[in-house]
Amino acid sequence: MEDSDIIGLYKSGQTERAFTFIVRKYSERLYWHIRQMVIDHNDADDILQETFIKVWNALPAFREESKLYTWLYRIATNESLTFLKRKKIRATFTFCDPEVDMASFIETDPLFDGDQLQLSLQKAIATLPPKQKSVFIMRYFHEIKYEEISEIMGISVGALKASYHHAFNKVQEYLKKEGY
Amino acid sequence: MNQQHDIHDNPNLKRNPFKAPEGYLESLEERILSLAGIVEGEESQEDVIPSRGKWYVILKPAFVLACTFGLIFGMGYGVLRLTNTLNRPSDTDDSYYATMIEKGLIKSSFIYSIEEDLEYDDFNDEDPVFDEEEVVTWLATQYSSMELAQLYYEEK
Repeated sequence: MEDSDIIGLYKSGQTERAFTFIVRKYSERLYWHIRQMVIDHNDADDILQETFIKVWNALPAFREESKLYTWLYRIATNESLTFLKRKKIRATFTFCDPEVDMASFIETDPLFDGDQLQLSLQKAIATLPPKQKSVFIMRYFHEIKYEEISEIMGISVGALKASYHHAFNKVQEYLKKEGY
Repeated sequence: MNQQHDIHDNPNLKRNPFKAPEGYLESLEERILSLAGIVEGEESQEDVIPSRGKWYVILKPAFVLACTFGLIFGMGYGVLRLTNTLNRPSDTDDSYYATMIEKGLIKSSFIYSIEEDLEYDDFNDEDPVFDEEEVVTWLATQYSSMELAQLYYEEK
């Protein structure tokens, strides 16, 4: 079902039906987006639930100023960034580095199913600052257009390109250090 | 080989290397819908189900807040009541009444004996007026200081 059809259902007063189609169409895609941001499955599951609760509550306020797809991604990205921010604040009290912790978590994660190069790439992504990471994931893995990422993150296309370029260089540098 | 070329052109690198727990993705839709209070399968009856009322959405948090305050107030009141009840002797406690009667008798007999000994004539409706010195003298002759102290603290 097209996004416009879902919006049409919603406008005709069939809120629950429209929400059902949103969940059916986007839940898995948003899960993987969140999962790549936070790495841990349980965290991703919690954030995904929070995301859809926000979608459900904010649906009456959706004014079609943005596409449904970018609106959903914006909520999911913001939820993930908030989670990572909180994690970083908590880590300051325990003198831990959440980026390093996340990188080492991937190594032992039984739900990681990649080869050594993929492991190194994921570890490199884990060391990126949260916003850079989200830009890199959306552009590199999901191949979302800069214009759409701009809509999702509320950052200009120019700033996004610069952010992706920085992230890319950091990842490349990390992989070089790892011997790739 | 150029690393940049590798990352961009290696399709294997763009593949998602993470797995979800078994059955998680299959049950994802159902779990999210139940979280939002929508039971799957009922969606086809959407046209007969009224959409969420605006007032319900607005008043729900206020109602929950009011209930929470009510609950906290009730619990606090209950605790205070319970504490008072514990500090206060039970109404059905016979020994409490026995003690009170005993105290009352002591008081009555004490005052009565003073009244009798001092022989006040105008002791009808008006409050008696005692001469302080006379009372002290009488008490000193009738009771020891220990007895007086005991009576004082019992009355207090």
